[in-house]
Amino acid sequence: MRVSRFWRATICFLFVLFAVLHTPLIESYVGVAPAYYSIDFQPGLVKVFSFDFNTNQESELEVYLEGDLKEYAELSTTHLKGGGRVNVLLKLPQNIEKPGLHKLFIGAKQLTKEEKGTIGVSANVRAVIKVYVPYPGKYAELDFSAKSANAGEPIEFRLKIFSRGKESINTLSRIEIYDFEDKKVGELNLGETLVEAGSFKEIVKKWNTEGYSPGKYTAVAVVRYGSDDSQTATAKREFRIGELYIDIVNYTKVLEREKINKFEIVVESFWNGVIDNVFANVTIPEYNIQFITPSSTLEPFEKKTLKGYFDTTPIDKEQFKAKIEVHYKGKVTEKEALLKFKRKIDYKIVVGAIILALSVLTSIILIIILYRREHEKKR
Amino acid sequence: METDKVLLTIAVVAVAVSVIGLVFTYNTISGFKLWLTGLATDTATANVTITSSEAINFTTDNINWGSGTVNGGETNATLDTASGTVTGGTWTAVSQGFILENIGNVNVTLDLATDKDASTFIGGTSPLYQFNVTNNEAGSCPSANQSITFGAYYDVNTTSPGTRVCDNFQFTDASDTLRIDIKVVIPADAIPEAKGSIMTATATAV
Repeated sequence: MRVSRFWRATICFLFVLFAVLHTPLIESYVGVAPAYYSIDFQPGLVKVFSFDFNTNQESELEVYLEGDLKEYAELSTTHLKGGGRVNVLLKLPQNIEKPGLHKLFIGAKQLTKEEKGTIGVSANVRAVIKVYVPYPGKYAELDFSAKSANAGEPIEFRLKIFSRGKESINTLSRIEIYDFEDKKVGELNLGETLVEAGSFKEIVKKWNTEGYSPGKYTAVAVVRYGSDDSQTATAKREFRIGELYIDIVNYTKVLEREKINKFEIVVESFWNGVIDNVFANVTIPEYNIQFITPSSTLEPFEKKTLKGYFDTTPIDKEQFKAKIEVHYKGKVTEKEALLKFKRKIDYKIVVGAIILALSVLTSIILIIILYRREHEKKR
Repeated sequence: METDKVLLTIAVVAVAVSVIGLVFTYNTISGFKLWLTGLATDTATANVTITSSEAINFTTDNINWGSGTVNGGETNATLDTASGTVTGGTWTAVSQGFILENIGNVNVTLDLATDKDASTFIGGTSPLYQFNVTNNEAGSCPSANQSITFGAYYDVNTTSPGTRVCDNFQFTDASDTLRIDIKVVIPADAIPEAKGSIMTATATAV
């Protein structure tokens, strides 16, 4: 059976398409699994931790150790090609003086050859073995988060209480809320919690924001874990109650004459959500000039610069007014701006002044020379 | 007769594609063995543990302005990928910075370092070698976790692991890509030669 040229081409095309679809969209990558291990310190512990590194098939990796427990660890290999397994033999000492979190990093860096005339890249990943050395007696550590929300929505607080001491703890916790003037505006009682040594408990609590103004707030988690006043752990987090508003924070105030100028407008979102299609419309009514910046996306509470360009050739005044309008989600923020031109140096005056100064100086020197000659003649 | 040939050809292609697809699927599943572990018992209970994985990928991994010279009468030339411009020189403008993606399943910290500073990379009088980081996908490094001002240029750092750029580079698909732009200022008195440098991005599990 003879297959026509058309069908041969079709088959080739399908195979090429198939190959393209199955080609990974990866140029230069390094990865490791798992990303970390967490263990509690055990005197004299000897343990092997395995990490699987992966990279481009032809890439070579240099494997290394970093961190304050580096001296207690050994690597099964320091060189990999196209990825592979690395075993880390950790031999902990009988005692580590400093209590708290110690990190041992196991890194793998791509060995990239420098190419002349090019700025190249090298990816480097570091996996971590986290070793928690217990504190003597009772000790608590906190992991506290506060999620911003928009006005009327509840704020979610998450508080993790870790018992990092050798003894279990019984905690009494609360969250205090302060406004931007550091005035206490609310408190949430989280009650009592028993946390065994070496473990943690998580408390999730929501705070109703109804009746509270949009703005910046601070939440302070206070956890008392013993009878002594010093046995209190605190953690502070800022959060915001958002409103759908974009502020014009700053803008270009000084421009150059008779050329195309870049005009920058710094805007800040007060909204706890992504705002798409944000753009500025700038008008200079006196000269009938108008331009629009390309639209941009603002992340929650993000500050960004919008850029536009316009020609100042038609403007003859030293100072002039402009109106900046920032458009977003059907709303507009306006600002009147007073713009001015950079003072241009008049090179004719500068050159004239230099020539004049040189002439005066030359004249003084000539007068002195002539005076001296006359004086010598008289002698 | 012609119709038969057509159908036969389609059938052959379909079978070939299916076989190759089967091989790829098998390979892909085998490749995931390291990342997913499963245990099935005779009581029909399934237990799946997803291993944490940390990985970064440069989808754009080199910047090359080609060869060029500083224009006569100019003291230097500025090559900038953020604005995609070359001013004061004859190099070819490049408007694509490095694109770095967090392809793992944990958030990471990110540091940037280079093997050379401005004077060793470019040389001459007052050279500049700077980088600037921006979110290529909104929220990849949330404002609160940005350790430098995004969008502003900073001198490169040759001390490992370099300059902390982000404390919490996200892994979620819609927001896991950063853009790194490069600006170099080449003085007119820089020694003419092909120059190269390597930028290292270090990711560490949070």
